[in-house]
Amino acid sequence: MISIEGLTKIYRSETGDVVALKNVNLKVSAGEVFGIIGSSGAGKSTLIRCINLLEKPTKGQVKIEGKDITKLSNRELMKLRRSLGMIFQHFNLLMQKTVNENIAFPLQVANVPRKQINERVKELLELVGLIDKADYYPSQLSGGQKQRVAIARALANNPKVLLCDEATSALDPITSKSILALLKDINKRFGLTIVLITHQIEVIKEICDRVAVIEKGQIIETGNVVDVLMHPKTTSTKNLVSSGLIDKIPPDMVLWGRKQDYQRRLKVSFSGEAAMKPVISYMVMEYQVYANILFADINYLKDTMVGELVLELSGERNAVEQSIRFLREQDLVIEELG
Amino acid sequence: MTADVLIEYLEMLGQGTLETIYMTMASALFSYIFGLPLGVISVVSEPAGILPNPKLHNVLDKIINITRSIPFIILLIALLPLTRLIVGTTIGPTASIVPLTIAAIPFVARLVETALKEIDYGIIEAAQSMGATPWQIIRKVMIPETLPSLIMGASITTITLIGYSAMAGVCGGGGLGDLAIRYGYYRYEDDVMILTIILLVIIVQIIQSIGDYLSKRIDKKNK
Repeated sequence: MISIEGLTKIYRSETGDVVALKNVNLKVSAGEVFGIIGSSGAGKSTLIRCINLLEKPTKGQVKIEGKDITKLSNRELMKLRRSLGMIFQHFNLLMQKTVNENIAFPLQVANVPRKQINERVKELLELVGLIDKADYYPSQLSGGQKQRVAIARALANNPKVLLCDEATSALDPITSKSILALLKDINKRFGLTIVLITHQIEVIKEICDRVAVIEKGQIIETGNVVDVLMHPKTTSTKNLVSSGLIDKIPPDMVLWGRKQDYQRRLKVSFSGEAAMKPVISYMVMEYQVYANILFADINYLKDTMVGELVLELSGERNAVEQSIRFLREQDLVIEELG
Repeated sequence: MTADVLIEYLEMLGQGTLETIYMTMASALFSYIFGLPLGVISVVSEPAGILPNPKLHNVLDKIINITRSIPFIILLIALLPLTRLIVGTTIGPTASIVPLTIAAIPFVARLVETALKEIDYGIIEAAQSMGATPWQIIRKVMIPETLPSLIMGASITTITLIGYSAMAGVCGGGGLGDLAIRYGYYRYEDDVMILTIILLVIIVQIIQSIGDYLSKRIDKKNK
Protein backbone atom coordinates (compact mmCIF):
# COMPACT_ATOMS: atom_id res chain seq x y z
CA MET A 1 0.00 0.00 0.00
CA ILE A 2 2.56 2.51 1.17
CA SER A 3 6.23 2.01 0.64
CA ILE A 4 8.85 4.47 1.74
CA GLU A 5 12.32 3.98 0.32
CA GLY A 6 15.50 5.78 1.29
CA LEU A 7 13.59 8.77 2.56
CA THR A 8 15.77 11.63 3.74
CA LYS A 9 14.64 15.07 4.79
CA ILE A 10 17.05 17.85 5.48
CA TYR A 11 15.94 21.29 6.63
CA ARG A 12 18.35 23.86 5.35
CA SER A 13 18.75 27.06 7.28
CA GLU A 14 21.33 29.77 7.68
CA THR A 15 22.48 28.31 10.97
CA GLY A 16 23.17 24.95 9.34
CA ASP A 17 21.39 21.89 8.04
CA VAL A 18 19.15 19.82 10.25
CA VAL A 19 18.69 16.20 9.24
CA ALA A 20 15.14 15.35 10.23
CA LEU A 21 14.97 11.96 8.53
CA LYS A 22 17.82 9.75 7.48
CA ASN A 23 17.37 6.95 4.96
CA VAL A 24 14.00 5.77 6.23
CA ASN A 25 12.55 2.58 4.78
CA LEU A 26 9.04 1.46 5.65
CA LYS A 27 6.29 -0.68 4.20
CA VAL A 28 2.69 -0.41 5.25
CA SER A 29 0.29 -3.10 4.04
CA ALA A 30 -3.28 -2.43 3.01
CA GLY A 31 -5.78 -2.67 5.86
CA GLU A 32 -3.32 -2.61 8.72
CA VAL A 33 -2.89 -0.13 11.54
CA PHE A 34 0.72 0.93 11.48
CA GLY A 35 2.15 2.92 14.35
CA ILE A 36 5.29 5.03 14.41
CA ILE A 37 6.49 5.79 17.90
CA GLY A 38 9.25 8.09 19.05
CA SER A 39 9.94 10.86 21.48
CA SER A 40 9.48 14.48 20.47
CA GLY A 41 11.98 15.67 17.92
CA ALA A 42 12.60 12.15 16.64
CA GLY A 43 11.21 13.06 13.21
CA LYS A 44 7.89 11.26 13.31
CA SER A 45 5.90 14.37 12.45
CA THR A 46 8.08 15.00 9.42
CA LEU A 47 7.80 11.36 8.42
CA ILE A 48 4.00 11.27 8.42
CA ARG A 49 3.92 14.58 6.51
CA CYS A 50 6.11 13.05 3.83
CA ILE A 51 3.41 10.46 3.13
CA ASN A 52 1.05 13.10 1.74
CA LEU A 53 3.87 15.45 0.79
CA LEU A 54 2.94 18.23 3.18
CA GLU A 55 6.70 18.00 3.55
CA LYS A 56 8.75 17.47 0.42
CA PRO A 57 11.40 14.78 0.89
CA THR A 58 14.96 15.83 0.14
CA LYS A 59 15.77 12.37 -1.15
CA GLY A 60 14.04 9.03 -1.57
CA GLN A 61 10.72 7.75 -2.73
CA VAL A 62 7.24 7.56 -1.29
CA LYS A 63 5.17 5.02 -3.17
CA ILE A 64 1.46 4.65 -2.77
CA GLU A 65 0.07 1.58 -4.49
CA GLY A 66 3.32 1.31 -6.37
CA LYS A 67 3.31 4.86 -7.68
CA ASP A 68 6.08 7.22 -6.66
CA ILE A 69 4.19 10.30 -5.51
CA THR A 70 7.25 12.52 -5.26
CA LYS A 71 7.15 12.67 -9.06
CA LEU A 72 3.56 13.88 -9.29
CA SER A 73 2.59 17.28 -10.68
CA ASN A 74 0.82 19.68 -8.33
CA ARG A 75 -2.53 18.90 -9.88
CA GLU A 76 -2.04 15.15 -9.54
CA LEU A 77 -0.82 15.58 -5.99
CA MET A 78 -3.96 17.44 -4.97
CA LYS A 79 -6.06 14.69 -6.46
CA LEU A 80 -4.02 12.04 -4.66
CA ARG A 81 -4.39 13.84 -1.32
CA ARG A 82 -8.14 13.37 -1.55
CA SER A 83 -7.50 9.64 -1.18
CA LEU A 84 -5.37 10.20 1.92
CA GLY A 85 -7.27 11.49 4.94
CA MET A 86 -5.42 13.14 7.77
CA ILE A 87 -6.23 14.08 11.35
CA PHE A 88 -4.19 16.22 13.70
CA GLN A 89 -3.30 16.67 17.35
CA HIS A 90 -5.06 20.02 17.52
CA PHE A 91 -7.93 18.97 15.24
CA ASN A 92 -7.46 21.94 12.88
CA LEU A 93 -11.15 22.49 12.26
CA LEU A 94 -12.49 25.55 10.52
CA MET A 95 -13.52 27.63 13.51
CA GLN A 96 -15.98 29.85 11.64
CA LYS A 97 -17.86 26.91 10.16
CA THR A 98 -20.38 24.52 11.68
CA VAL A 99 -19.74 20.80 12.14
CA ASN A 100 -21.80 20.20 9.00
CA GLU A 101 -19.81 22.70 6.96
CA ASN A 102 -16.52 21.34 8.25
CA ILE A 103 -17.36 17.84 7.09
CA ALA A 104 -18.69 19.16 3.79
CA PHE A 105 -15.49 21.11 3.14
CA PRO A 106 -13.35 18.32 1.60
CA LEU A 107 -16.33 17.35 -0.56
CA GLN A 108 -16.68 20.91 -1.82
CA VAL A 109 -12.97 20.96 -2.49
CA ALA A 110 -13.44 17.85 -4.62
CA ASN A 111 -16.39 19.46 -6.44
CA VAL A 112 -18.94 16.90 -5.31
CA PRO A 113 -22.52 17.94 -6.20
CA ARG A 114 -24.41 19.61 -3.34
CA LYS A 115 -27.06 16.93 -2.98
CA GLN A 116 -24.48 14.19 -2.66
CA ILE A 117 -22.58 16.29 -0.12
CA ASN A 118 -25.62 16.53 2.15
CA GLU A 119 -26.16 12.78 2.08
CA ARG A 120 -22.53 11.97 2.70
CA VAL A 121 -22.25 14.44 5.58
CA LYS A 122 -25.24 12.81 7.27
CA GLU A 123 -23.69 9.35 6.90
CA LEU A 124 -20.45 10.57 8.41
CA LEU A 125 -22.17 12.32 11.30
CA GLU A 126 -23.87 9.05 12.10
CA LEU A 127 -20.60 7.16 11.84
CA VAL A 128 -18.88 9.37 14.42
CA GLY A 129 -21.98 9.75 16.57
CA LEU A 130 -22.48 13.50 16.28
CA ILE A 131 -25.77 13.71 14.42
CA ASP A 132 -27.22 16.04 17.07
CA LYS A 133 -24.26 18.42 16.86
CA ALA A 134 -24.52 19.13 13.14
CA ASP A 135 -25.15 22.86 13.54
CA TYR A 136 -22.72 23.47 16.39
CA TYR A 137 -19.52 25.43 15.95
CA PRO A 138 -16.21 23.80 16.96
CA SER A 139 -15.81 26.22 19.87
CA GLN A 140 -18.94 24.67 21.38
CA LEU A 141 -17.54 21.13 21.29
CA SER A 142 -15.28 19.15 23.60
CA GLY A 143 -11.86 17.93 22.47
CA GLY A 144 -13.13 14.43 21.79
CA GLN A 145 -16.05 15.73 19.77
CA LYS A 146 -13.73 17.98 17.77
CA GLN A 147 -11.54 14.99 16.91
CA ARG A 148 -14.66 13.07 15.85
CA VAL A 149 -15.55 15.90 13.48
CA ALA A 150 -11.98 15.82 12.18
CA ILE A 151 -12.24 12.07 11.61
CA ALA A 152 -15.54 12.46 9.76
CA ARG A 153 -13.97 15.20 7.66
CA ALA A 154 -10.91 13.09 6.89
CA LEU A 155 -13.12 10.19 5.78
CA ALA A 156 -15.44 12.29 3.62
CA ASN A 157 -13.83 11.44 0.29
CA ASN A 158 -13.57 7.72 1.11
CA PRO A 159 -9.79 7.68 1.44
CA LYS A 160 -7.75 4.51 1.28
CA VAL A 161 -5.40 5.68 3.99
CA LEU A 162 -5.90 7.68 7.16
CA LEU A 163 -2.87 9.49 8.56
CA CYS A 164 -3.07 10.32 12.25
CA ASP A 165 -0.69 12.96 13.58
CA GLU A 166 -0.70 12.54 17.38
CA ALA A 167 -4.47 12.29 17.16
CA THR A 168 -5.01 11.55 20.85
CA SER A 169 -2.15 13.48 22.43
CA ALA A 170 -4.29 16.47 23.33
CA LEU A 171 -7.06 14.37 24.83
CA ASP A 172 -7.61 12.96 28.30
CA PRO A 173 -7.09 9.19 28.72
CA ILE A 174 -10.76 8.25 28.60
CA THR A 175 -11.50 10.36 25.54
CA SER A 176 -8.33 9.00 23.93
CA LYS A 177 -9.64 5.49 24.38
CA SER A 178 -12.94 6.33 22.76
CA ILE A 179 -11.21 7.94 19.79
CA LEU A 180 -8.91 4.92 19.42
CA ALA A 181 -11.95 2.64 19.60
CA LEU A 182 -13.56 4.64 16.81
CA LEU A 183 -10.42 4.37 14.68
CA LYS A 184 -10.24 0.64 15.34
CA ASP A 185 -13.86 0.28 14.32
CA ILE A 186 -13.33 2.25 11.11
CA ASN A 187 -10.26 0.16 10.31
CA LYS A 188 -12.24 -3.06 10.74
CA ARG A 189 -15.41 -1.96 8.98
CA PHE A 190 -13.93 -0.30 5.95
CA GLY A 191 -10.55 -1.99 5.80
CA LEU A 192 -9.01 1.47 5.92
CA THR A 193 -5.24 1.53 6.24
CA ILE A 194 -4.19 3.67 9.19
CA VAL A 195 -0.76 5.16 9.74
CA LEU A 196 -0.35 6.92 13.05
CA ILE A 197 2.42 8.63 14.91
CA THR A 198 2.50 8.93 18.66
CA HIS A 199 4.75 9.20 21.66
CA GLN A 200 2.34 7.17 23.77
CA ILE A 201 2.99 3.45 23.99
CA GLU A 202 -0.66 2.97 25.04
CA VAL A 203 -1.79 4.02 21.59
CA ILE A 204 0.45 1.40 19.99
CA LYS A 205 -0.79 -1.26 22.40
CA GLU A 206 -4.39 -0.33 21.87
CA ILE A 207 -4.81 -0.40 18.11
CA CYS A 208 -1.65 -1.07 16.13
CA ASP A 209 -0.84 -4.23 14.22
CA ARG A 210 2.71 -3.22 13.43
CA VAL A 211 5.01 -0.62 14.83
CA ALA A 212 8.17 1.21 13.85
CA VAL A 213 10.35 2.91 16.43
CA ILE A 214 11.98 6.12 15.28
CA GLU A 215 14.91 7.80 16.92
CA LYS A 216 16.97 10.74 15.69
CA GLY A 217 15.38 10.53 12.26
CA GLN A 218 16.06 6.84 11.81
CA ILE A 219 13.89 3.77 12.12
CA ILE A 220 15.60 1.60 14.71
CA GLU A 221 13.10 -1.21 14.92
CA THR A 222 10.06 -2.47 13.00
CA GLY A 223 7.79 -5.43 13.47
CA ASN A 224 4.59 -6.82 14.88
CA VAL A 225 3.54 -4.96 17.97
CA VAL A 226 3.61 -8.11 20.09
CA ASP A 227 7.15 -8.97 18.97
CA VAL A 228 8.58 -5.50 19.33
CA LEU A 229 7.02 -4.87 22.70
CA MET A 230 7.86 -8.23 24.17
CA HIS A 231 11.34 -8.54 22.75
CA PRO A 232 12.66 -5.07 22.15
CA LYS A 233 16.05 -5.20 20.46
CA THR A 234 17.39 -1.79 21.35
CA THR A 235 17.67 0.06 24.63
CA SER A 236 15.66 2.94 23.27
CA THR A 237 12.79 0.65 22.47
CA LYS A 238 13.11 -0.98 25.86
CA ASN A 239 12.84 2.42 27.49
CA LEU A 240 9.77 3.27 25.48
CA VAL A 241 8.15 -0.05 26.12
CA SER A 242 8.96 -1.25 29.58
CA SER A 243 7.26 -0.09 32.69
CA GLY A 244 10.76 0.00 34.12
CA LEU A 245 9.87 -2.23 37.04
CA ILE A 246 11.74 -5.36 36.01
CA ASP A 247 15.06 -3.63 35.77
CA LYS A 248 14.66 -2.23 39.21
CA ILE A 249 14.64 -5.54 41.06
CA PRO A 250 18.18 -5.85 42.39
CA PRO A 251 19.61 -9.11 41.05
CA ASP A 252 21.20 -10.13 44.35
CA MET A 253 18.13 -9.50 46.39
CA VAL A 254 16.84 -12.57 48.21
CA LEU A 255 13.22 -12.15 48.85
CA TRP A 256 12.33 -15.45 50.27
CA GLY A 257 13.85 -18.87 50.56
CA ARG A 258 15.60 -21.20 52.86
CA LYS A 259 19.38 -21.28 52.79
CA GLN A 260 19.49 -24.87 51.61
CA ASP A 261 17.23 -24.20 48.63
CA TYR A 262 18.38 -23.94 45.07
CA GLN A 263 17.10 -20.69 43.53
CA ARG A 264 16.66 -19.42 40.02
CA ARG A 265 15.15 -16.19 38.77
CA LEU A 266 13.28 -16.12 35.46
CA LYS A 267 11.48 -13.67 33.28
CA VAL A 268 8.50 -15.33 31.65
CA SER A 269 6.77 -13.66 28.75
CA PHE A 270 3.58 -14.99 27.36
CA SER A 271 1.05 -14.04 24.75
CA GLY A 272 -2.11 -15.31 23.13
CA GLU A 273 -3.42 -18.67 24.25
CA ALA A 274 -0.56 -19.36 26.62
CA ALA A 275 -1.76 -16.47 28.73
CA MET A 276 -5.04 -18.21 29.37
CA LYS A 277 -3.63 -21.38 30.92
CA PRO A 278 -2.84 -21.71 34.64
CA VAL A 279 0.72 -22.80 33.88
CA ILE A 280 2.33 -21.65 37.12
CA SER A 281 -0.15 -23.41 39.40
CA TYR A 282 0.33 -26.59 37.44
CA MET A 283 4.10 -26.31 37.70
CA VAL A 284 4.00 -25.72 41.45
CA MET A 285 1.81 -28.73 42.04
CA GLU A 286 3.59 -31.01 39.62
CA TYR A 287 7.22 -30.29 40.62
CA GLN A 288 6.83 -29.21 44.23
CA VAL A 289 8.72 -25.95 43.89
CA TYR A 290 8.07 -22.60 45.49
CA ALA A 291 7.23 -19.89 43.04
CA ASN A 292 7.53 -16.32 44.20
CA ILE A 293 6.17 -13.70 41.83
CA LEU A 294 8.37 -10.61 41.92
CA PHE A 295 6.69 -8.79 39.09
CA ALA A 296 3.66 -9.39 36.94
CA ASP A 297 2.00 -7.41 34.21
CA ILE A 298 -0.71 -8.22 31.73
CA ASN A 299 -1.45 -6.09 28.70
CA TYR A 300 -3.88 -6.18 25.86
CA LEU A 301 -2.20 -5.43 22.57
CA LYS A 302 -5.04 -4.70 20.23
CA ASP A 303 -6.78 -8.07 20.67
CA THR A 304 -3.92 -10.16 21.99
CA MET A 305 -3.31 -10.67 25.67
CA VAL A 306 0.35 -10.52 26.60
CA GLY A 307 2.04 -10.67 29.92
CA GLU A 308 5.33 -10.60 31.71
CA LEU A 309 6.21 -12.29 34.92
CA VAL A 310 9.36 -12.34 36.98
CA LEU A 311 9.48 -15.52 39.01
CA GLU A 312 11.80 -16.77 41.66
CA LEU A 313 11.78 -20.52 41.86
CA SER A 314 13.23 -22.27 44.84
CA GLY A 315 13.33 -25.83 46.09
CA GLU A 316 15.25 -28.98 45.25
CA ARG A 317 17.77 -28.39 42.50
CA ASN A 318 16.25 -31.10 40.37
CA ALA A 319 12.71 -29.87 40.83
CA VAL A 320 13.69 -26.33 39.89
CA GLU A 321 15.52 -27.48 36.76
CA GLN A 322 12.56 -29.61 35.76
CA SER A 323 10.18 -26.74 36.31
CA ILE A 324 12.21 -24.54 34.01
CA ARG A 325 12.23 -27.26 31.39
CA PHE A 326 8.48 -27.57 31.76
CA LEU A 327 8.00 -23.84 31.30
CA ARG A 328 10.13 -23.91 28.18
CA GLU A 329 7.91 -26.59 26.71
CA GLN A 330 4.91 -24.32 27.00
CA ASP A 331 4.33 -21.45 24.60
CA LEU A 332 6.37 -19.22 26.80
CA VAL A 333 9.49 -17.18 26.35
CA ILE A 334 11.86 -17.78 29.21
CA GLU A 335 14.76 -15.57 30.03
CA GLU A 336 17.00 -16.51 32.94
CA LEU A 337 17.86 -13.59 35.13
CA GLY A 338 20.18 -15.52 37.45
CA MET B 1 -26.25 85.17 13.96
CA THR B 2 -29.40 85.65 11.94
CA ALA B 3 -31.75 82.83 10.98
CA ASP B 4 -30.67 83.02 7.33
CA VAL B 5 -27.03 82.64 8.21
CA LEU B 6 -27.80 79.80 10.59
CA ILE B 7 -29.74 77.89 7.93
CA GLU B 8 -26.95 78.51 5.45
CA TYR B 9 -24.42 77.14 7.92
CA LEU B 10 -26.51 74.12 8.70
CA GLU B 11 -26.91 73.38 5.00
CA MET B 12 -23.19 73.74 4.58
CA LEU B 13 -22.49 71.35 7.44
CA GLY B 14 -25.05 68.87 6.12
CA GLN B 15 -23.45 68.90 2.72
CA GLY B 16 -20.00 68.65 4.27
CA THR B 17 -21.08 65.57 6.22
CA LEU B 18 -22.47 63.92 3.10
CA GLU B 19 -19.31 64.74 1.17
CA THR B 20 -17.13 63.30 3.91
CA ILE B 21 -19.18 60.10 3.97
CA TYR B 22 -19.08 59.88 0.18
CA MET B 23 -15.30 60.37 -0.04
CA THR B 24 -14.60 57.99 2.78
CA MET B 25 -16.86 55.21 1.59
CA ALA B 26 -15.78 55.44 -2.04
CA SER B 27 -12.08 55.46 -1.21
CA ALA B 28 -12.54 52.65 1.34
CA LEU B 29 -14.24 50.58 -1.36
CA PHE B 30 -11.56 51.28 -3.98
CA SER B 31 -8.71 50.75 -1.54
CA TYR B 32 -10.11 47.31 -0.69
CA ILE B 33 -10.49 46.40 -4.36
CA PHE B 34 -6.73 46.85 -4.70
CA GLY B 35 -5.51 46.41 -1.12
CA LEU B 36 -7.25 43.11 -0.35
CA PRO B 37 -5.63 41.17 -3.21
CA LEU B 38 -2.34 42.88 -2.48
CA GLY B 39 -2.45 41.78 1.15
CA VAL B 40 -3.45 38.25 0.15
CA ILE B 41 -0.65 37.99 -2.42
CA SER B 42 1.84 39.29 0.10
CA VAL B 43 0.84 36.64 2.65
CA VAL B 44 0.69 33.66 0.30
CA SER B 45 3.99 34.57 -1.35
CA GLU B 46 5.88 34.53 1.95
CA PRO B 47 8.63 31.90 2.11
CA ALA B 48 6.44 29.80 4.42
CA GLY B 49 3.21 30.70 2.60
CA ILE B 50 1.04 28.48 0.43
CA LEU B 51 2.49 29.87 -2.82
CA PRO B 52 5.99 30.83 -1.76
CA ASN B 53 7.65 33.44 -3.94
CA PRO B 54 10.20 35.32 -1.81
CA LYS B 55 11.17 37.74 -4.60
CA LEU B 56 7.60 38.87 -5.23
CA HIS B 57 7.02 39.06 -1.51
CA ASN B 58 10.04 41.30 -1.01
CA VAL B 59 9.06 43.63 -3.82
CA LEU B 60 5.51 43.99 -2.49
CA ASP B 61 6.79 44.49 1.02
CA LYS B 62 9.08 47.32 -0.12
CA ILE B 63 6.36 49.02 -2.16
CA ILE B 64 3.92 48.86 0.73
CA ASN B 65 6.48 50.24 3.16
CA ILE B 66 7.58 53.08 0.91
CA THR B 67 4.03 54.21 0.13
CA ARG B 68 3.09 53.99 3.77
CA SER B 69 5.96 56.16 4.85
CA ILE B 70 4.95 59.14 2.65
CA PRO B 71 2.91 61.58 4.76
CA PHE B 72 -0.59 61.90 3.34
CA ILE B 73 -0.46 65.66 2.98
CA ILE B 74 2.58 65.30 0.70
CA LEU B 75 1.10 62.41 -1.24
CA LEU B 76 -2.00 64.50 -1.76
CA ILE B 77 -0.02 67.26 -3.47
CA ALA B 78 2.33 64.92 -5.32
CA LEU B 79 -0.64 63.09 -6.81
CA LEU B 80 -2.36 66.22 -8.15
CA PRO B 81 -1.37 65.52 -11.78
CA LEU B 82 -2.64 61.95 -11.53
CA THR B 83 -5.86 63.13 -9.95
CA ARG B 84 -6.39 65.59 -12.77
CA LEU B 85 -5.73 62.84 -15.29
CA ILE B 86 -8.29 60.49 -13.77
CA VAL B 87 -11.04 62.83 -12.55
CA GLY B 88 -10.42 65.89 -14.73
CA THR B 89 -10.14 68.25 -11.74
CA THR B 90 -8.20 68.46 -8.50
CA ILE B 91 -10.88 70.00 -6.29
CA GLY B 92 -14.03 68.62 -4.77
CA PRO B 93 -14.81 65.32 -3.05
CA THR B 94 -14.60 63.16 -6.18
CA ALA B 95 -11.08 64.40 -6.85
CA SER B 96 -10.11 63.60 -3.25
CA ILE B 97 -11.01 59.96 -3.75
CA VAL B 98 -7.88 59.41 -5.87
CA PRO B 99 -5.22 60.34 -3.28
CA LEU B 100 -7.30 58.86 -0.47
CA THR B 101 -7.52 55.52 -2.26
CA ILE B 102 -3.84 55.46 -3.12
CA ALA B 103 -2.84 56.33 0.44
CA ALA B 104 -5.17 53.66 1.83
CA ILE B 105 -4.15 50.77 -0.45
CA PRO B 106 -0.89 49.92 1.36
CA PHE B 107 -2.59 50.53 4.69
CA VAL B 108 -5.33 48.06 3.76
CA ALA B 109 -2.77 45.59 2.45
CA ARG B 110 -0.98 45.63 5.81
CA LEU B 111 -4.19 45.22 7.78
CA VAL B 112 -5.27 42.33 5.54
CA GLU B 113 -1.86 40.74 5.96
CA THR B 114 -2.04 41.00 9.74
CA ALA B 115 -5.55 39.56 9.80
CA LEU B 116 -4.69 36.64 7.51
CA LYS B 117 -1.60 35.80 9.51
CA GLU B 118 -3.74 35.27 12.58
CA ILE B 119 -4.98 31.99 11.16
CA ASP B 120 -3.62 28.87 12.77
CA TYR B 121 -1.28 27.32 10.21
CA GLY B 122 -2.64 23.88 11.13
CA ILE B 123 -5.97 24.79 9.52
CA ILE B 124 -4.24 25.60 6.25
CA GLU B 125 -2.26 22.38 6.52
CA ALA B 126 -5.49 20.45 7.05
CA ALA B 127 -6.99 22.03 3.93
CA GLN B 128 -3.85 21.15 1.97
CA SER B 129 -4.07 17.57 3.23
CA MET B 130 -7.57 17.41 1.73
CA GLY B 131 -6.26 18.38 -1.67
CA ALA B 132 -7.48 21.97 -1.65
CA THR B 133 -5.89 24.20 -4.28
CA PRO B 134 -4.20 27.44 -3.16
CA TRP B 135 -7.10 29.41 -4.58
CA GLN B 136 -9.59 27.27 -2.64
CA ILE B 137 -7.53 27.77 0.50
CA ILE B 138 -7.56 31.55 0.07
CA ARG B 139 -11.24 31.76 -0.74
CA LYS B 140 -12.69 29.09 1.50
CA VAL B 141 -10.27 28.99 4.41
CA MET B 142 -8.09 32.06 4.87
CA ILE B 143 -10.67 34.77 4.21
CA PRO B 144 -13.71 33.21 5.92
CA GLU B 145 -11.65 32.16 8.93
CA THR B 146 -10.25 35.65 9.46
CA LEU B 147 -13.36 37.58 8.47
CA PRO B 148 -13.95 39.04 11.97
CA SER B 149 -10.44 40.56 11.90
CA LEU B 150 -10.87 41.70 8.32
CA ILE B 151 -14.03 43.55 9.31
CA MET B 152 -12.27 45.21 12.23
CA GLY B 153 -9.57 46.23 9.75
CA ALA B 154 -12.18 47.73 7.45
CA SER B 155 -13.57 49.90 10.21
CA ILE B 156 -10.06 51.06 11.14
CA THR B 157 -9.43 51.87 7.47
CA THR B 158 -12.65 53.83 7.17
CA ILE B 159 -11.92 55.83 10.32
CA THR B 160 -8.38 56.57 9.15
CA LEU B 161 -9.80 57.71 5.82
CA ILE B 162 -12.09 60.18 7.60
CA GLY B 163 -9.01 61.70 9.15
CA TYR B 164 -7.20 61.81 5.82
CA SER B 165 -10.26 63.28 4.10
CA ALA B 166 -10.07 66.24 6.47
CA MET B 167 -6.52 66.87 5.26
CA ALA B 168 -7.77 66.80 1.69
CA GLY B 169 -9.62 69.98 2.68
CA VAL B 170 -6.31 71.80 2.43
CA CYS B 171 -6.43 71.37 -1.33
CA GLY B 172 -10.13 72.17 -1.56
CA GLY B 173 -11.13 68.56 -1.32
CA GLY B 174 -14.59 69.17 0.12
CA GLY B 175 -16.21 67.59 3.14
CA LEU B 176 -16.14 68.54 6.80
CA GLY B 177 -12.38 68.99 6.87
CA ASP B 178 -12.61 71.58 4.13
CA LEU B 179 -15.20 73.51 6.18
CA ALA B 180 -13.13 73.32 9.32
CA ILE B 181 -10.10 74.69 7.53
CA ARG B 182 -11.86 77.42 5.57
CA TYR B 183 -14.24 78.68 8.27
CA GLY B 184 -12.74 77.48 11.49
CA TYR B 185 -9.07 78.13 10.71
CA TYR B 186 -8.83 80.84 8.05
CA ARG B 187 -11.82 82.82 9.31
CA TYR B 188 -11.59 82.11 13.04
CA GLU B 189 -15.19 80.90 13.23
CA ASP B 190 -14.84 78.65 16.23
CA ASP B 191 -18.44 77.45 16.25
CA VAL B 192 -18.05 75.94 12.78
CA MET B 193 -14.85 74.27 13.90
CA ILE B 194 -16.55 72.83 16.97
CA LEU B 195 -19.56 71.62 14.99
CA THR B 196 -17.37 69.87 12.43
CA ILE B 197 -15.50 68.16 15.23
CA ILE B 198 -18.74 67.00 16.84
CA LEU B 199 -19.99 65.67 13.51
CA LEU B 200 -16.71 63.85 12.86
CA VAL B 201 -16.80 62.29 16.31
CA ILE B 202 -20.34 61.05 15.69
CA ILE B 203 -19.43 59.57 12.30
CA VAL B 204 -16.37 57.82 13.74
CA GLN B 205 -18.40 56.44 16.63
CA ILE B 206 -21.05 55.06 14.32
CA ILE B 207 -18.52 53.35 12.05
CA GLN B 208 -16.59 51.88 14.97
CA SER B 209 -19.78 50.56 16.55
CA ILE B 210 -20.95 48.97 13.30
CA GLY B 211 -17.53 47.36 12.84
CA ASP B 212 -17.43 46.01 16.39
CA TYR B 213 -20.96 44.71 16.16
CA LEU B 214 -20.48 42.93 12.84
CA SER B 215 -17.15 41.46 13.83
CA LYS B 216 -18.55 40.07 17.07
CA ARG B 217 -21.74 38.92 15.45
CA ILE B 218 -20.07 36.76 12.81
CA ASP B 219 -17.23 35.45 14.98
CA LYS B 220 -17.94 31.84 15.96
CA LYS B 221 -14.47 31.16 17.30
CA ASN B 222 -14.57 33.15 20.51
CA LYS B 223 -18.07 32.30 21.62
